[in-house]
Amino acid sequence: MTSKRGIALVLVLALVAVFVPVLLYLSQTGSSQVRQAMKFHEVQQSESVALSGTHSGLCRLRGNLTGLQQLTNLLLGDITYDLTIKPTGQGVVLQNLYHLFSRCALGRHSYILMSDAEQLQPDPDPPVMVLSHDTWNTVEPYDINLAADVTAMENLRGQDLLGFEATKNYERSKTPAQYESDLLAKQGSLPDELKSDWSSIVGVLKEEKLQF
Amino acid sequence: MIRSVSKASILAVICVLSWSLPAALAEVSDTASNRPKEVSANTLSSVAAEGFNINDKAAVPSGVNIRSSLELEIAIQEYLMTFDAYREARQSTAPEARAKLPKLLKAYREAYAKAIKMMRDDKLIHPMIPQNPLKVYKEEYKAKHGEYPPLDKRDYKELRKAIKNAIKEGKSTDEILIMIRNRVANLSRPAPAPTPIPLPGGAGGSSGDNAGTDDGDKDSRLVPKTFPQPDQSSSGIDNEHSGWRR
Repeated sequence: MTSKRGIALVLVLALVAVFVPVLLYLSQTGSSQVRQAMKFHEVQQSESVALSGTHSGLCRLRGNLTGLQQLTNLLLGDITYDLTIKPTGQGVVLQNLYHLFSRCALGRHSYILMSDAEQLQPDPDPPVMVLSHDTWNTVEPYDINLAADVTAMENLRGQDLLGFEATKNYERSKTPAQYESDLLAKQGSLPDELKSDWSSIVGVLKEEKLQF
Repeated sequence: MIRSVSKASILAVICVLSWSLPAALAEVSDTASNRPKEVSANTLSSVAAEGFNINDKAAVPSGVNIRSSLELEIAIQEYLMTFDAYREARQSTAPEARAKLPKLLKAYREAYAKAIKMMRDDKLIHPMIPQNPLKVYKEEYKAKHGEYPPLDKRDYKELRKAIKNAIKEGKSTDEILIMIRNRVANLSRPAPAPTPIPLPGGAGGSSGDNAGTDDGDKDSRLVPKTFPQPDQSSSGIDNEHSGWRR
């Protein structure tokens, strides 16, 4: 009788010892996928808010606001973002030139958009004409109100723009036929989904080629 | 009994691991950042070789080319005009206006690339240096000519008004560019001889030059406009390599 109770007890303990960790692991696995979904949600939200932040900065410039603007904890719905509009100088037709930074951080994800902006002299009232160029992004957790971080971003973006400049120089240096054949030669290294449409895409790219 | 339970448990654990491992690995790889945090030595040396100082970004670089401010201004006014045309078409609800969007975007892209290349070739700007081309131009101009170039903010305001008026009156791109050239040339500044602008079909040089009549408050968007079209033979400053010609 005692031995039967002992066996039953060992059996119960063994079941508990095996299934409790399994159940715990199952619950953690479920929450891992939820965490992943939440993370993607945060990434999308932060990128959308940073983009909206850039537009709000451009709207400020269109309203003829000038000079350095460092705005923190601005709200888009219930999500906060930072906006820094840093004057860099003047253009040849006396337009004001800026670097525009927009940052949104959600959870562990930080997203920063940086772009050039030109603000023309109002003629005579706002809204003034504003152009933005060369928008660049980073997921590094920089502080857009810190001069050292801003300089680091300007340097890294400049490095990327130098690569872009080399691409544009290449594009300009080729004739449309050479450009087309160069692009078609890359077809073999493309994913299968793109291969079938590549020739028509190259046709469009050839039409869009810089030609001066 | 105990053996069968243990085998079932081990099997269950293996199944759970194989199901959950990809998700866990995906999360780790998604958080990893591969972006370099430092500018490469090659980039730094190429910047220095071009005459720019990455540690003193406000300094005027060595080897700046001072061309006629007229050429620079025309190039910039050209991309401003093309951008204005693109923006107007993008905001339009008329299908025929929106159908022109790709061509207008291409025209703007090329006009901007042309102006940027011009300033980049002259070392007025560099991708790693916050842009301040006017200061560089003025400083280098003073170093060469002993005085600052005579630039007046009012001139550009009047020029913008004149362009606005010319667009309102339906002037062609060439006529507007000629008007810009004439107005800028009349700013009584010392400048090297600019590249001649060919007259399209013998058109007069001073068309659209009526800035004084623009009250500035009238919304020209309400008036039908003829915007610069990418398929027109145009440009003015570089007609042989015009990006608008196909």
